[in-house]
This record gives sequence, structure tokens and C-alpha cells, in this order.
Amino acid sequence: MGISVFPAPAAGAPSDNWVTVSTVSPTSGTSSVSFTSLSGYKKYMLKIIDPEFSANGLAYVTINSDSGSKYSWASPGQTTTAISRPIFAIESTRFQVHSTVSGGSLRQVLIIQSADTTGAKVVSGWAQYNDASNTVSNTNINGVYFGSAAVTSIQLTLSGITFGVGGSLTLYGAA
Amino acid sequence: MKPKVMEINTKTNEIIVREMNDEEFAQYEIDQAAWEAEQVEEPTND
Repeated sequence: MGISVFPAPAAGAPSDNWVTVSTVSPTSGTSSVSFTSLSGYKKYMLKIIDPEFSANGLAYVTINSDSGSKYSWASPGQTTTAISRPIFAIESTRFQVHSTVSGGSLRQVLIIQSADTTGAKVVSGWAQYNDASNTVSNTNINGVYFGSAAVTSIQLTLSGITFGVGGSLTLYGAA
Repeated sequence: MKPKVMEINTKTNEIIVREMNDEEFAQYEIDQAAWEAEQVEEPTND
């Protein structure tokens, strides 16, 4: 039996260098936040920290404002004592990224790969949220956006409810 | 009054907050109705 010889790693692309693209606090009464004029990054990471919500509901992410049936995803753990959404979708018109809980809190990260290509974009993320009784729930989402253009905008939209005061949305990019 | 949409131009850092247009508001109302219908079918612990 011969000795396995593994090739030395090629000198090449450096590690991802995440930089802040933009950070905002949603304006009260806003139901959708859109980061526009995006370019120059291979990956994006959206970090959501403790926004307030006007009521219980759901939140969605779309890419390039595309409402076509191009979003395939699974999110097995979107569950709290108030809201139960262990779900998946094959040809959805958007990613359902988490439940929103009025009086609770939410922290979430969502990463979009291959953002500078015209092919499919793999998306993954995770979240932790507390309901109004401070019951902690965790969830994750994995999916693909079958778009045919580079990412130029990312939308976070609430389902028939609005943001309150506080919290932050930060978009990072890796070139 | 319609809910608002916040748009952040990441190149110029300009932030625009505007009312939803008719198409956006229609989707907002569809989502709201769907959510309320689900809550009737599946009461929560609220």
C-alpha cells in the first residue's frame, strides 16, 4: 500500500475579509428595509439585532426585489410558544427567515454566497429569539435563490406589520 | 396611512423613507390577512 501524498495548498485567494457595507436602525412604522446599489462583493451577511415589531408576524428576505418563484429553502425550527413555523418551500417567492414576536427580541444572521455571479446563490442563516415571556427559541435556514443576475439589492420585509423603535440591521460584504 | 419602506443606497449612504406603493401595499395586506387567518385556525398562546 503506497503512501498518500497530498498536494500542498496553492497560494491563492486570501480569506474572506468582511467589511461593513451599511448599518441602519429601522424607522418606526417601516415595514420593509432595502439595501440598494450593491456591487463589488462576492458574499453578503445581514445581521439583525433586536428590532422591535408592532405585532407577531413573519419576516421575509428577497434579492433584487425578485418576486419570482425562485426561492427554495428549509427552516425546521421556527418555533416559539407563540408561533410555530417548522416549514420548507421549493418554489417560493421569498425566503421566510424568521418569526417576529411583539414584546420579544430577535437576533439573526443571514449569509448570501456567490453574490457577484449570475448563477444560483446559496443562502444560510440562524436566529435566536425570545417571545414576550422570554422563552428562547433557535432556528436556522438553508436555501438557494435561483436568480440569474448578480446581487444588487437585498430586502427585509415584514408580513403585514411594522418595525418599532430600536434595533439595528447591518450588512457586511466580502470581496 | 400606508406603512413605509426604507431604502439605503449603499454607494451614497443616502436613506429614503417613503410610503409603500400600491403593489407593495397590496402584498402587505395579503400577508396581513394570511397571518390573521392562520391565527384563527391555529390559536396561539398569546
